[in-house]
Amino acid sequence: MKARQRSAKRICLLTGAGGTLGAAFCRMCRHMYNIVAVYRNRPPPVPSQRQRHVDPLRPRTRLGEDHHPVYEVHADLTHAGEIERVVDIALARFGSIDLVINAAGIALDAPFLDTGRFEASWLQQLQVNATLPMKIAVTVLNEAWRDRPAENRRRNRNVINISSTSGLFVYSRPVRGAYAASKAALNFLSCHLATEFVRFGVRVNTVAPTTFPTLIPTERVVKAIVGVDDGALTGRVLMLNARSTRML
Amino acid sequence: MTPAAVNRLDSILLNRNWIWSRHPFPHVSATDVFTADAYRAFEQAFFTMSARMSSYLPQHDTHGTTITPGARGPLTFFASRAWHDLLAGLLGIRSTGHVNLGLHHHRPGSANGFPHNDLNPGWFVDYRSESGIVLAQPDVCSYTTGEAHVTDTAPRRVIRACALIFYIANPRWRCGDGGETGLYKRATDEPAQPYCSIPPINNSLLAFECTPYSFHGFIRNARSQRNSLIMWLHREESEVTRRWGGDAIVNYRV
Repeated sequence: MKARQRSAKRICLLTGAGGTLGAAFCRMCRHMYNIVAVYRNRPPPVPSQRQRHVDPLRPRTRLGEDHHPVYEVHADLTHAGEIERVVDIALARFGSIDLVINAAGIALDAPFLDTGRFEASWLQQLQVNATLPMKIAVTVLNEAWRDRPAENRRRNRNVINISSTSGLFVYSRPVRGAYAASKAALNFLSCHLATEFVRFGVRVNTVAPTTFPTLIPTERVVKAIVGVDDGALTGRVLMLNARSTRML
Repeated sequence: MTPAAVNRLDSILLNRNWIWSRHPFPHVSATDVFTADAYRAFEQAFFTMSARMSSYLPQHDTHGTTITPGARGPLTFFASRAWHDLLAGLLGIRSTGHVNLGLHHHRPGSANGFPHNDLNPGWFVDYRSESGIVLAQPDVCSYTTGEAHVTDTAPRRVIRACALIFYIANPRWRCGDGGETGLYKRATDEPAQPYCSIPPINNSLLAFECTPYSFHGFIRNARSQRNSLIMWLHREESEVTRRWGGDAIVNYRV
């Protein structure tokens, strides 16, 4: 991806950095953003303060690919105090945050008829897929954005929540009802959050792709995220499916 | 490594951008390691050999087999001097040339392992080898105890220097499938709650030096089988004793 003309790198707080989309964003965009890459299970496979590339045939040679490292943070955001800690680390490291990408998510299979399993999976997915993104956005607002509306507008600060077309359409996948509903909740919560954040000069949008990389390339989702960050819209859902891209 | 060896490896390595990580202990991971042709050949050989996975390791709830000096086929690449030297050079190991190479198969629903560091002894019987690589021969002597099964053999004890796990012949992995290799800060950490984990995605690998702190373990595979090729290089016991003390060596539970 071509580097955009910017005086300085924007600062991005990215959750779900170890997942397919998060890792692709780090790989493709670390030259454009200072990325605080938050992960739970595995760090994104890119250079960081704790990782570097190594050529197995020339292990002692420093590689050019190590430029633009991300700043990785290991955290389980479902634990009390972890969101605040992550935001503190991002602000201590870079001084401000321009973009929040909530890419952390889980997809659990649970049929309705398996009542106990369904309820557990529903609560877990509602927490991770819908509630956490709101809490993260509000924490960043309170810690970094609340008293700076003019600066926020000048820096085009915004939140991008990663949803799914499962939250827009009813697919015939019998075990994914709780997941789809949690993503639908995320879509609506994001739109309402956008109306509350307008007065702070902060935009909130949602990117809702179909299955990647199976049906669409992950790179297309990354490019869509960068496009939303570059744009001026708020309170919208950008739908990406195999045939088209549509702003809802 | 000789230029010829570098050229040979370069021709089958698809990705030379491997990742060295410091936490929770130094390790290297890589995806898309080999070219598609090379990986396919390894996978086919794995399926052929998997019928021989008769031995069961109860501590790790896995079935396995050892690749011995008489083996033929694509998987013997991992016993080559070139691959040995790549691994030793990557992790800065001074190896004796003793290699334990095997295949592991975890059935769906295999139990969690436990955080362990692999700083274990291994027993070998030396034999004439042009490449200087000496493979374990469980039919001749037990790798874990040194018990000789053949008369007039002189088993030799060395210590594991580094471990490699190459993920192969697995169904497509999805988050929630389990079967990852967990990496831990402490031996007492919960097996299901690692610091981070390496998923069993085909044609990817995990490698690390065996130290008192290289705690890792298998995470329960709820949905699918988990297959891997495993490999250890070894070093002299005196080196381990000098660096960490003799009591750092973990003898196998019998």
